[in-house]
Parts: sequence; structure tokens; C-alpha cells
Amino acid sequence: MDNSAPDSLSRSETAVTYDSPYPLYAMAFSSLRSSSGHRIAVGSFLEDYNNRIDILSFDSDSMTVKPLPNLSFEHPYPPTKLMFSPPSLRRPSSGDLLASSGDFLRLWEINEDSSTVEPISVLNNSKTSEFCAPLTSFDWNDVEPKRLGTCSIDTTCTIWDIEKSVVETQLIAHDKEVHDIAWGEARVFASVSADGSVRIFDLRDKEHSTIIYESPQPDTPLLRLAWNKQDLRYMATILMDSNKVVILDIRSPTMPVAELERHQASVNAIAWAPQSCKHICSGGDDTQALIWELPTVAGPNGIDPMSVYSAGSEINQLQWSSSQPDWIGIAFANKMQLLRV
Amino acid sequence: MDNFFLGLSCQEENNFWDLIVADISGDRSVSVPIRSAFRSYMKDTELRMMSPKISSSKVNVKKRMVNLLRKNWEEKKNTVAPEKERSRRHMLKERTRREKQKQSYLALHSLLPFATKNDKNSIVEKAVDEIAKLQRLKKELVRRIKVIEEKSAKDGHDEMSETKVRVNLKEPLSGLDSMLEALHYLKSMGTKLKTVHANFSPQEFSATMTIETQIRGEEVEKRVERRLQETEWKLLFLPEASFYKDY
Repeated sequence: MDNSAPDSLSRSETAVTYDSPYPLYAMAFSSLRSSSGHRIAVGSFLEDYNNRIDILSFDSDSMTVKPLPNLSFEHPYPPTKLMFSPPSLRRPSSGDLLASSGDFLRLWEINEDSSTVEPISVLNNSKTSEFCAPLTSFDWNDVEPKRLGTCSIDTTCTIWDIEKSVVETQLIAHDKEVHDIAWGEARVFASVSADGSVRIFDLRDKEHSTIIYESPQPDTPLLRLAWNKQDLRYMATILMDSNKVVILDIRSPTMPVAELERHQASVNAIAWAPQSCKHICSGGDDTQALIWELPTVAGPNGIDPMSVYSAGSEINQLQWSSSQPDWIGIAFANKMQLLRV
Repeated sequence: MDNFFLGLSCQEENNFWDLIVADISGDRSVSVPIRSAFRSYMKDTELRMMSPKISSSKVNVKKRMVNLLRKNWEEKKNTVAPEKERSRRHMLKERTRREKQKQSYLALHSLLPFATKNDKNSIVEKAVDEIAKLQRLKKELVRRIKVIEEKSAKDGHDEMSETKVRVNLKEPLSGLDSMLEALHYLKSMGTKLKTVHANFSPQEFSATMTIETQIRGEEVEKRVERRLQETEWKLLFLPEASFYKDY
């Protein structure tokens, strides 16, 4: 009890909460700073056609998160992923680009000065049908920002040229649904699948892919993939219904360099620190967000996380802001919380 | 593969994190409010040992998301399937239509002159020519029918009308013979005699006869005149032909 008061006090100063009218799943930090603060996009998760995307404004000085009602708009089906355009994308207009995936890949222009959200394009990767195969996730290439890669439950990964709104290339990436995709370089990406494998693709050699990991139990799906942008040798993945975060070294395929096993329930989300090559954050059904520091040598008893945050409910989403590396965003139930690292 | 290593940046960031770690350590030792929302894991371990394990019966949101996507996709594909079926039926209908068209062209071709070529364009062109030709033939036949009908109507006129026939003969050889010949001839033409008014003299024979006739009066008169001339020639060369001699 003596400890609870200081924790409560310090927590209110170190965490900011946004209460949404509906459950939240997807979220994204903007790399641009507008007049009213940094923008955050959150997507609702209603198992229905009618869903929404809200744009929030975060002021770290006053520790406030405010919704921007004029920048709230409808989205068909819950978005599976949201991303703002990387800072390397130079655009003549002052607006910020937001991409959302789900039934289609959609591009939106967020213009806070004029308080408008304009749909720019709806992209379909299916050549034979008017319906796009549902997209589970995507990643925006920050080295070549006109390139964006999506992954789908139809086993394919699609690389888009978003300036021309066309498919640049499409690869049959896996044997089952592809759950996540991540860029490493301008032409190199990796993906994880329900077939339990992590594969690396090079657009300069589309006929081949390299399997760098397969889950130990056959056909245990892999859910998420995070590539360490500070040290491209390392990536992290998580297995469905597993409390492990698997750290991979692409130079030694099939043998993970570490398995982080301190969550008490399934892990749902992982994110590398944007400005450190040794730190990674994970969130899971045990309502905890853990920050890990990877040692150079693994100890015999396994690796303990550095620090922990307990949310009020299962954590579904986790993002580590690259424009504000002091802050981690998590989504659980109908709340979005910003946590000071 | 060493190209991936960003040693310099990594070292710099390590310094950054050393500060963070020191800050956390400082928090633990001096018991001041920490800047971070995160607590040290060691403390959480102690708390966790005392609290029961968290268990959730809810299905993972990621799994629910994938299931939702797949369900919607299946529904859309099921609506697309009827479109494919419709496409197949359309193809079969087109095939039937082409077959019917082919049969029609063959039937039309069989009605055309023997030398007609078998391609669609030639069949259609030749058919147009044949139709035009048949239309001209019809017009001609209709015209002929009209002519024949007019002629038949004229011949079939049954109505008789009364008319006067006047004949005149200078210096007749035998006025009586002329009169008798005229009467005989009128009878042979199917006319009906009503009245006769005749004058006889050595210089002239003239008669006015009222008859009922189907033939035009002028025609009857002309024929009677011609008959009397013939009678004069006969009396001149064959005197024994006279009716008067019999008397």
C-alpha cells in the first residue's frame, strides 16, 4: 500500500490515455508534427462493415491526447494495419498520407490545416476479380517511400507503386495465409505466415526466397514480424498462442539467437526501439508490456525483461514511435495509451 | 553481411540507453518518482509471485481479425460464383445463337441460284437481288392479270341498249336484196330488231332500223355497211344469188 500511492502519482505523469467509443486494434504514429502536436491514427475493431479511423493529436509537453473530430472518417471493415507516410516521402502538398489495409489497400490524405480527410485511392491486387484478397498487414518502405508491400490471406505478397497506384509485382510468398511483412532494405523484405515460416525476398531475384526460420511445431502460425532497422541482422517474430518472442539472426537460419519467455500469456505485438539496436518491446494477453534489452551472451536462466508496464486489459497493439522515441503506444480494449519509456 | 552492421549508430544509442538504465537504477535506489511509465521487471516479479496467473477466455484479436477477413472474402467469392455461372450460360446461349444463324444462312442459300457463293456476305447480297427480281416479276404478273381482267370484263358485258342503225346505198342493183341481207346479218349478230324504216328507188336504197344490241351501235352500223358492199359485189358477178330470183 505504501508503494501504490507513488506509483499512481508517477503513472499519471508518465502515461496518457485516450478512451475510444469502440474497441481499438490498429494504430500508427505520424512522423510529421502539426501545429497542435503529433498525430496518432487509431482504427476501430468492430466485427462488422462499419468501422472508423480517428486522428488524435498528442502534445507531450502538456501530456494530453485530444481527438480531432473533423479528421474522423468511416472505414469499411476494421483496418488490419495503419501507417503514416515515412518522412522520406516528399510531397508537394502539406498533407500527411495515411495507408490502411483490410478489404483493400486504401490511401488517405490527412490535411489538418483544412480539417479534411480525402480518400486518394483504393488499390486492388486481384487481376481476375473486382475484390481484393483481404490484406492482413503491410509495411511502407522508408528507403524507397513510393514502394509499399502488402500481405494477404491468399498466400501472396504484393508490392505497390503508390505514386502510380499500380501493382509493381506480386509473389506467391507462402503456402498459407501471410500474416505480416516487413522491409529491410529498398528491395528486400521478409514475411511470416500461417505455414510457420519466416522468408526473405529480394525483388532483384523474384524466383527465390530464403527461409530463415520455421516454427518448431509444424504449422504453428507466425503472427508478427519486426525487422531491427538499427541492426538489419536481427528480426523478431511471435508464434500464435505462444508466450515466446523469437529473436532471429538472418546469418544463421533456422536457429533463433534468443527466445524471450517472460510473458504469462500469448504475445500479440512486438516493436524494436527506433533508435537502439538492442531494445525491443512486446505486449500480450497477460496485459503486460515488456521492454527487453538483448545481451551479447544469453545466460543459462534465460533473459529477463528490463522493465514492465501493466495495462488494464489484453494488449492487442504496440507501436514504438520513431519520431518520438521516448514514447510507446499500446492499444487494449477501447483504450489507447501512450507510455513514456 | 557485415554491411548490415551499423556500429557507430549502435554505440551512440547504447550511451542513450545507459542513461535510461541509470535513471531506472537511480529510481530504485533513491525512491523518487520515475520518469518512465514502466517499472523495473524485478519489482514486477515479486508482485507477480503473489498474484494469480492471468487467464483470458477471449479469442485473440489477431485471430478474430483474420477470421473476419476470411469470412468476408468467402462471402464475396460466393457472390462471384453466380457471376461465373452466368458467364457460362451466356457462352452456351451464344453458341446456340451462332448455330441457329448458321442454319438460317444454309436455308437461305438453298433458295438462291446454284452458283451463289457460300459466304454470308454473298448469300445476303444474292438474296437481295433475288428478292428485287421476284418483286419485279410480281409487278409484271399483276399488270398482266389486270389487262386480262379488263378484256374479260369487256367481253362479258350482258347489258343491251337500244340504238339506231342507218345504212345508205347509191344505185343499188337490187334494193330488196340489200334489205334482206341487212336483216339477216343483224340477226346473226345477236341483235333484236324493233322497227324498220326503208326507202327504195332506182337511184338510192336507204334504211333506218331500230335494234337492241350489246355491241356498240357504230360497230353494228359499220359491219352492216361492209356486208351490203359484199352483197353488191356478189349480185354484180353472181346474179343467181339474188333472193328476188327465188320469188
